[in-house]
Amino acid sequence: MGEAKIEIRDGQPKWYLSEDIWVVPGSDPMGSPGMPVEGQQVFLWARVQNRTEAEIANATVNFYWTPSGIGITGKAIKHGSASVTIPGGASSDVLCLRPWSVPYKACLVVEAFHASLDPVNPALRARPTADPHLAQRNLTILHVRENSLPIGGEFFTILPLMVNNSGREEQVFTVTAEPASLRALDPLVETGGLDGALLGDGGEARIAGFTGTAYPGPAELDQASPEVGELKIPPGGHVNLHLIARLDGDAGLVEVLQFAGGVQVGGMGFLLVRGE
Amino acid sequence: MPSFEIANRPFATHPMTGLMMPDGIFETALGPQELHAQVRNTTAGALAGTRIYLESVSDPGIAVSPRTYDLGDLPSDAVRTLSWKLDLTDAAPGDHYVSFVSNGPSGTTRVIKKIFVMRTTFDPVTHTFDVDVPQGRLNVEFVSLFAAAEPCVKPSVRSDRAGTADLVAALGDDERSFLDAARELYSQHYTDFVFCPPGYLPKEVRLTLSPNPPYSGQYGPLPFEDPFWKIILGIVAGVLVVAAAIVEAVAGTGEIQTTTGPANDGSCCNTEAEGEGTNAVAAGLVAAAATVATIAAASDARDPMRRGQDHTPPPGGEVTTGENLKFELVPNDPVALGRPFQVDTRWEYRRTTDGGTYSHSVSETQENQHVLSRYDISAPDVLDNTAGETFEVKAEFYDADGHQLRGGRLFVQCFLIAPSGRYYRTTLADDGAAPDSAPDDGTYTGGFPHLSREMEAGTWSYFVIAQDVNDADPGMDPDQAAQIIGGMVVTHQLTIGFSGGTCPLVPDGQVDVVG
Repeated sequence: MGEAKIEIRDGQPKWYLSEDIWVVPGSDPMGSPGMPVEGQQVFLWARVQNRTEAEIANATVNFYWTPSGIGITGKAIKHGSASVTIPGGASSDVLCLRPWSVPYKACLVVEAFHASLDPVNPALRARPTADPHLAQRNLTILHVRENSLPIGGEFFTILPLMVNNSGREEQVFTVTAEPASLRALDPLVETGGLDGALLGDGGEARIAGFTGTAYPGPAELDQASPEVGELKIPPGGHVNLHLIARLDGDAGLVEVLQFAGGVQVGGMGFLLVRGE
Repeated sequence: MPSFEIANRPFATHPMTGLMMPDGIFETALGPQELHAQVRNTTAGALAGTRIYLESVSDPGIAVSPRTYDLGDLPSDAVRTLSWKLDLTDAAPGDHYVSFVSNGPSGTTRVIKKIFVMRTTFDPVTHTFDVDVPQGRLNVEFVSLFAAAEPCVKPSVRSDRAGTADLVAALGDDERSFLDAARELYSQHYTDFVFCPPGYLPKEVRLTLSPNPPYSGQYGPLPFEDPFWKIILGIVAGVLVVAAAIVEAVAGTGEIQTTTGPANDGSCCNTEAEGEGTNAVAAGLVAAAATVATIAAASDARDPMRRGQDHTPPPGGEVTTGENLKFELVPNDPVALGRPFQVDTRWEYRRTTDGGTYSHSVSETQENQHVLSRYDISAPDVLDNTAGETFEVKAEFYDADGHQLRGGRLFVQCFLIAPSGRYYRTTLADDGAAPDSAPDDGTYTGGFPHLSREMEAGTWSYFVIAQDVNDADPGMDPDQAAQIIGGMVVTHQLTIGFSGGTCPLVPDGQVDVVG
């Protein structure tokens, strides 16, 4: 299997925040990009690159969403498909015409391939950063109230997340969390429909760490760590984690990464913004 | 500036006959169908380097076989009909959307169009058919049919064909209807049988409409907010003729079972087509006759269901929960495709509300509106196959008032049938691209270049079948749009008479292939 001819670009600088995947809210699929709002209808779009000099005709683009989690999971739900013909060296925007009702939290995953010219390599499915056919937009926006979770005299926010094993064998994972610069969201603000007003005057997230419970006390908070290792998950299984963080300022970004054998297999961003 | 537009609502063609479905409506019972879109070049020049493809469909139950076309030779303002294969076996009934995209030097154009999908199922207990559309369920009961005066020669089945035995065995499964079996036969391109439909035209029909939801006021919704309910009946009548014939031929179980009424009227002539090509043409034309006779009887202007509603306004506050129509069709004239034959009808409409029942009945004579005053076909009489000559055909069509029809007004196909029975089909276009000489001049042209040097010697027959196209503006009021009907055959290859005998298929010409 040679080098991929078709690509959906990963995000830059955060690979899991692809600006080549976006949504258009409302009933007009050709409207402006916007933000997915729970319970509302949106249309899914992706920009697909032809990395060759020749036209690629009749490629397939599949649109998936997964319940809130890190990376590609065995629970990915295929939402719809589209076809695309891309001139050599160019890109084409692709619309999935089936409306999507936005769930509470979801990761959008899109893959593009050609059944005969450029098939997907199944071995790379669990390593999204290694497969150009695949990209994702995995950003969860959480509105943080001022006094959401008081612990030991400080107010924190709970970021629930799911760590999945989409493989066919038990795997051991490590999950890390750290603050990230809001500048990482610039591409999404510029072209990806993310409302820049949400970021206000900026700010940053501070990570307390992962806990096993959604309502930790001060002692558990003391033991929380921004890294969880030795997470053994059976094939097709998942583990729920709770990340405790606090927001200083108007907005802050948290990056959560999932590793297996030292290789990144999942990633997601939490954008914490001030408000109800 | 957009480089193209889709001139009218994209339409479906029947998987066996290749003819446009009435009003272009897709039917899940048929499984795989072709979607045809009339693409118009909206730029001032040619579309060099421009490609077009079907991008996406809003219903995930519709599977699309991707295909990309080159529009480079499509002149300015010309219309070309392009097709894509869709499988609607798992589609949901409703109005769905399809997006088309063109890429070229002038940029990208995306056009989104609506299509209509209905679902017909057979109820083996009541021997009736349920048709589901978003606006409700229409139950269709064929009380009696017009059938052939003399039974045709019983069909022979090619039992040696792979899969036939399994298929016949499967037909014994009570869970499957002959609609399911027909769908499988279409997908296997099973056309090698004697076309001998159990019935040709509906005679007496009872319709029961269960609106979803029940409605208050005088008028209920139209199916898909567009065609009248009679179109749905017309589709069912046409689809069943073909399905019943093919399943009857293969397994002897394709009878459209009539119910409690009088015996079938055995006065029809019989087509008795045999062989792949004539089967497809005969099936298409007989289905077209069943459809157009039904629709003519029900009137293009306002169908009995609507007129029944006109005359039975319920008292304020009452909710209509059901509507019934008993409909009888008695042709005055032979049913001649594309000609103004007359049909007597008697119908009785009954509205049921939560407060009572109200009825209205009518006896009247209606006339087929889907006619041509004349059409002219030109094609070679002799073809030298060894010299590599290809068969090309040109056709011109004139409406009832003598005005020539052009461009996207018609969907025109040529069926070319070999002496061996094999057949080939091509679309005739008025798009100015070779072999057509000028766009929108009213001359539709098509050819079979792929048959160069491959036509067997002997006499070939050809049929040029034209169907009108629903060109209703999407912005029209539903009652206005409903009066515009497309998909009716307007050429004259079949007349179904009511004095027994044979009703021959009349080809538009023959060509002697030499060499």
